[in-house]
Amino acid sequence: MSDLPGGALRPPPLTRRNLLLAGGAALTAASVTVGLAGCEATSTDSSATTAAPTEPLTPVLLGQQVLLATYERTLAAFPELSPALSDLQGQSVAHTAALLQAAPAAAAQVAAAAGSTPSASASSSAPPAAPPTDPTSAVADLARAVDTAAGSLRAAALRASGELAALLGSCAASTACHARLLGL
Amino acid sequence: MSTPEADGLQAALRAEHSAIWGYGVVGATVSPELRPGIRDVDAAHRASRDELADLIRLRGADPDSAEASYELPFPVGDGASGLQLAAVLEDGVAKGYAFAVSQADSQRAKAFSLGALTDAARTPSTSVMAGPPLGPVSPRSRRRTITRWPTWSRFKGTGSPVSWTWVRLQIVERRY
Repeated sequence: MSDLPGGALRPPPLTRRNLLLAGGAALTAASVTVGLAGCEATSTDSSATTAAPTEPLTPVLLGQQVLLATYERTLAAFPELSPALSDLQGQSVAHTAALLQAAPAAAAQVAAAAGSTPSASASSSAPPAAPPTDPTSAVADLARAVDTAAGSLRAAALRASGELAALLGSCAASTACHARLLGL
Repeated sequence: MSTPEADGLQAALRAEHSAIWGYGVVGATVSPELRPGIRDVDAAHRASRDELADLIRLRGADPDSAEASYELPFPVGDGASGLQLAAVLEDGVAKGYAFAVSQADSQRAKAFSLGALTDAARTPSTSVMAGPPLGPVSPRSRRRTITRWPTWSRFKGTGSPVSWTWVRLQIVERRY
């Protein structure tokens, strides 16, 4: 008998377009979920008057957006880093897509916070940070952003339960691996 | 006594057993300069195995034993295939710990499993592969990345479908 996993299939590569499609699907699902929740009038909703409660995963998704924006800013400034970074970026895109699907309510809050269309959420938020001046410092900045995201994912995994905890933990582990690869 | 948390820890323990067995194969195939790193990783897995066994006993269950031997997923005859096996082993361990995370009720079991999951994700790219960290980046450095994307699967003995697509381990192998 064997506990060793056998061969694994690789899914189609994730592109930004796929992510946006996935995000759109998640947001569509979110609107349905929100609508159903309103009809069912769950007990915890009765006290909601002015401010909507923050979904547990909303900070994580906002952190993922910051991370993806950092990747884009880094690659826009230093396209020569693409061979080294695009694979890691693609994985963070995949993490974000999986989290959007797993937490549609949080995805809706993030989209609302962006105050724009879903497709603009991850790519058009202009980061205020001063741009790095050389590739080494750009990678160092990126590594810090990756490390922050890994910590946020891990903290969320500790608070979550069930398969959501496993998802968050897996994303945290992968992101921590990225931080290591980036020199942290 | 079987609880979901204990079952999750047992799954991780079975994966650790197979990894420890597999690292014996890895150590016999890799080049001599990589063997100290392999030994360190093997020792870390043994420590995790022992801690898992303690956690399981604390929950009133008997830790699952190792099998006498395991099937290799592909022929392993040289250093390159040995390193590929190491990645497969860490993949299996990561799956076990991710399942343990999903089943954990206590913060101790969850925190331990999360830490071990992270170690499994990081191991192939660091000590085992002996590859340099990426930064400062030399964009033209020759790197070959082998990717494996475990797909939707049922972890053995649990019946619980868990998607592992996002657990992606990679081998970064310096060619020159």
